[in-house]
Amino acid sequence: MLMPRWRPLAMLAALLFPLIRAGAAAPTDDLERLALLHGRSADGWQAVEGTITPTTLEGTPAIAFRVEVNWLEGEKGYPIGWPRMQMNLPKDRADWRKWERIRVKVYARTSRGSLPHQPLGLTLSAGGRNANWERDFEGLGLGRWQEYVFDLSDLALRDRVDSVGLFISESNYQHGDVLEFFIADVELLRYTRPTLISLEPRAKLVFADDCSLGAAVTMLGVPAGASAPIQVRLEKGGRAFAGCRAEVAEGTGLISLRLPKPPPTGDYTLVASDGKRELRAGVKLITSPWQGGAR
Amino acid sequence: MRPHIAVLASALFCAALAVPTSAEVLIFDLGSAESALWAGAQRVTPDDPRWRSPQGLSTHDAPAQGDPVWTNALTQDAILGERANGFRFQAPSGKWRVYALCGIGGHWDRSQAQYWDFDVTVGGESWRCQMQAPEGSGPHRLESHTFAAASAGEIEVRLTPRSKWCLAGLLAWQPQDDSAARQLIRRIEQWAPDEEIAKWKADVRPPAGPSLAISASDRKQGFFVWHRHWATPIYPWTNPTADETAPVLRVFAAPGEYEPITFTVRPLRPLHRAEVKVAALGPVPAGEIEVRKVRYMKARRNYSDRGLYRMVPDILDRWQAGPLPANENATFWLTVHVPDQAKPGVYRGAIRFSADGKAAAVPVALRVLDTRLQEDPNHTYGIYYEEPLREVGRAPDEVSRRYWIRKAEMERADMVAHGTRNITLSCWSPAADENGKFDMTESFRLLDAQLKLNARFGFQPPYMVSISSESAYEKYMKTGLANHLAGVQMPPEAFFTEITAMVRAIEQERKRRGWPEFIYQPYDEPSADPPIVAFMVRLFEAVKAAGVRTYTTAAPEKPGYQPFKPVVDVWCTQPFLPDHDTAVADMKARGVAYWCYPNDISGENDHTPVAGARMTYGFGFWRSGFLRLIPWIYQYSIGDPFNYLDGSAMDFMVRSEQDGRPIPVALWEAYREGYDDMRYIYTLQQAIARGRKSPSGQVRAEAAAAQQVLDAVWNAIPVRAQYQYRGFWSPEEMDVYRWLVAERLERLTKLLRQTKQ
Repeated sequence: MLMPRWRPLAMLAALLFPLIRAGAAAPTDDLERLALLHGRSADGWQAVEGTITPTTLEGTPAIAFRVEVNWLEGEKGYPIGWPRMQMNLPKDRADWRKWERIRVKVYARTSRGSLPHQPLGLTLSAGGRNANWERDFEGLGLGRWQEYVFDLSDLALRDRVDSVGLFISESNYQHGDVLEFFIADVELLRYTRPTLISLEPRAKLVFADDCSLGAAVTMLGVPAGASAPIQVRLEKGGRAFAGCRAEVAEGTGLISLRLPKPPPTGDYTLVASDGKRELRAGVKLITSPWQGGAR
Repeated sequence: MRPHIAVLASALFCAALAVPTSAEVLIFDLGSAESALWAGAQRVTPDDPRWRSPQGLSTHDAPAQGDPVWTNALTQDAILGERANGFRFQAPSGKWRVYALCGIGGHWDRSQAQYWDFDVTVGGESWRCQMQAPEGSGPHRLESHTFAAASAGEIEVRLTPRSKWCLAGLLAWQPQDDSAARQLIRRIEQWAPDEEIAKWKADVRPPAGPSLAISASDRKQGFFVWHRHWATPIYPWTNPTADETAPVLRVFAAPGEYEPITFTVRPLRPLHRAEVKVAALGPVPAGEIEVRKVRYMKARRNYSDRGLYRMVPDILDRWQAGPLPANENATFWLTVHVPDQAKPGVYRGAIRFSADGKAAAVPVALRVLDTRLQEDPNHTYGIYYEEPLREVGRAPDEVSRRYWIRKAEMERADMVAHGTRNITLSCWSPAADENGKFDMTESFRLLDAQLKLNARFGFQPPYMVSISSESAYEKYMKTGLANHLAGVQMPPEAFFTEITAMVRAIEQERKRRGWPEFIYQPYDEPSADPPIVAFMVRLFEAVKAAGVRTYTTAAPEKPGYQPFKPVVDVWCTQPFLPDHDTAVADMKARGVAYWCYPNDISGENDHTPVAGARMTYGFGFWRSGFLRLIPWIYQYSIGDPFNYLDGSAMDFMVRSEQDGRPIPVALWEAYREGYDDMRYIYTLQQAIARGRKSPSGQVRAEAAAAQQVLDAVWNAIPVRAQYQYRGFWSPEEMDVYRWLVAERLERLTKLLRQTKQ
């Protein structure tokens, strides 16, 4: 069941932070959402080797996922195991083909001084099996709300997603550690119109006599089999040195901007726009090993 | 599976494979009188009168249901011969084609050191078949060849062994039955029954990108050429951007360096004979430019994952000429080896691609640098290795014996060319006898042969040596050790005493023979469960009691492994953890060493993170503070080495041709490029050190400027514990950073040279 909710611009900007590498926040009015968990209810969720409890933290309704790390007891064969909270999806929520990303809002507290390199993971199963789709909550800190948005484009069997889970690996923690992860939201997202999400030059350092400048752009909200136009240009001090129009399909793809003649070395800005939104990224052109015209 | 069930399953499999064949396709199923028979085939046994001689013929029948390979009635059995022989069959006069299929079916319970090397001759045409026996899980190969023959009433298939021969089946047909024969061959060579293959579905495809408008001239030509960086996977369906077409391929390299050059051809119609021709490129003779083509493989998403596969660019086969299917990218991978004496400069040339009478010249620019690269003695490139020399002593004949030696030599030469300077060793020992003695005669013989060969190829110690703790454990506990030591019980003190004695015995021999230092691994990848950690601590203590250093594959940052700290000298971890400063401080304070076995980019999980591999082996390695890279593993085969879906897990990394010659994969080439990145860095560091001591102010200033660049590169590295897919430099960026280092190196080297003069 779709439950579109419209959020303020600032909220969306924060939401997109892990993926947006350049440019301003995406507009909000083109985003559709499906909540799998919101802090007011843990309906459908269950915990293994931990507990889940609805609560409110710093004014935000959340589900507290609490784990006391125990290396001596656990599931059969795995005393040092994977405590987790998970939701088996009802059939009417199993088809994720239309969803582009999954967003989780999380807050961590622990009896230890800091969190390990891989503090918490997100996992999915699909088609009756582990979907081999896992993401780490890298950079998760203590004592603050953080939002993570993960791309779903490489999820296989996405028409039959069975379950979604958050887990820890006890081997990353010390026996006796107490961990609390507060989960405010787990929701699926998709854009309803083509939206430029990110612009990432293939290289931020580029040989000035390269014939073209490549960049990875992520566009969401593009219907399957279709493409959407973007404008790209290379500029320095307001002067455009090269520009082109490119058609981009859903997801992350490569575009390239032809450089008609080698521009002078130095710092430039690569600019991409979908008409509503403009993203910018810095590139530096340097002298190449083949100086002298090997183009 | 019980034998009768296996036979039934095999029969069902045969029935499933049986296709209506033209009566004109003769099928000969070679094997025993009892084994399953391919539908419609003539059974050929050793006492068949059509053999020239029944002498020296034997059979092997080993049906297999996916462990690790699948067989069918034709492939499950074979006739083996020790001397020259011939099989004759009646064939009406005229033109014929004869298909010979060689292989030994499933489980091979005879000498694992057997190497079949023989000629199959039909009419005037001979085909050499070479095949290695599977050791345990692999490699299992079927080799085949189709001959053109003319019959005057009878055709003879002659078999001439260098060692022995094996033949599983023959097909023969006349030209009008080509189509039926091809269909039949497809069924015979199908790697598994239909129902097994149906269990494998294609995973999500990486996006193709928008289609390119094809020009009229390209359409007329039948193909177009494009280029994308070699470390970026190009799939059969990947579309280039407009600016990636009509490329100029540009590389820079130091004398002595190997460098990849790649280009991709998109055939717009089936190309029947595509050819790549290279001429000398400046100082690089054509013979020093190797031409290979990227082979797409169906690969699992993960090591032992089942059910979903991805089509991935992976194996780099030697390429001379051949057909290319329409609308499927064909990437050609050329490796240029710049001669040691090459003069600096920018050289231009072209690679000629031709197909069916049309040709395209792909321009190449090569800059040879005015500097020579040095190796950092403090950063060693190692690799886990399954040793072919192990089979030498067990080889049943001289041809087999020579094969194993040759394979070991070719693989070491390949490793050296990729920067490898160290391999893992093992010293297996039975438990001590009643007199407390260990019979390690064979292990010492092997170690001696390995170390002599390693020295010949310039490998560098110390060596990690794994020992057989399990044999002593079994003696005392009457049970073996499970994977990751699951369920291990604490053995009596006598076990640990025996481990100490075992290591002392090895050390005694090592010193006696003048072998280099060994670092001992008593067990691989123990889990962090407290009882297992407690057992391992006692085991490490027992090893250390022999006065040696210890090695473990465990994560030092994980709390569960903290008890290892006092007893482990070398930590080998999958990610670069702990971080640089912690690792360096710990190595300085405690004299320990940090090594890395980066499974995430060596083919265990995925065969495509080529850029991640280069970053791991090069800039990432430098930034980590770790001392050695030791990926698992140079070659590993389960089932058919060219089928990643059979068996319990994927095969990786380097594959082999029939004669044992290594076939690289993209990830292995990334290893070399990372090694080269490190050499550029180290050579600049050395030049800076010399420049700083120069009496010339100009040189000292240049050295200072070079140091600034090096510092900038260091600071620009996005530090990650693992470099796999994202969050680090793009392949193009790695080239630019290498160039920043190379440019300063050239300038400083030149100044140093001038000052010296």
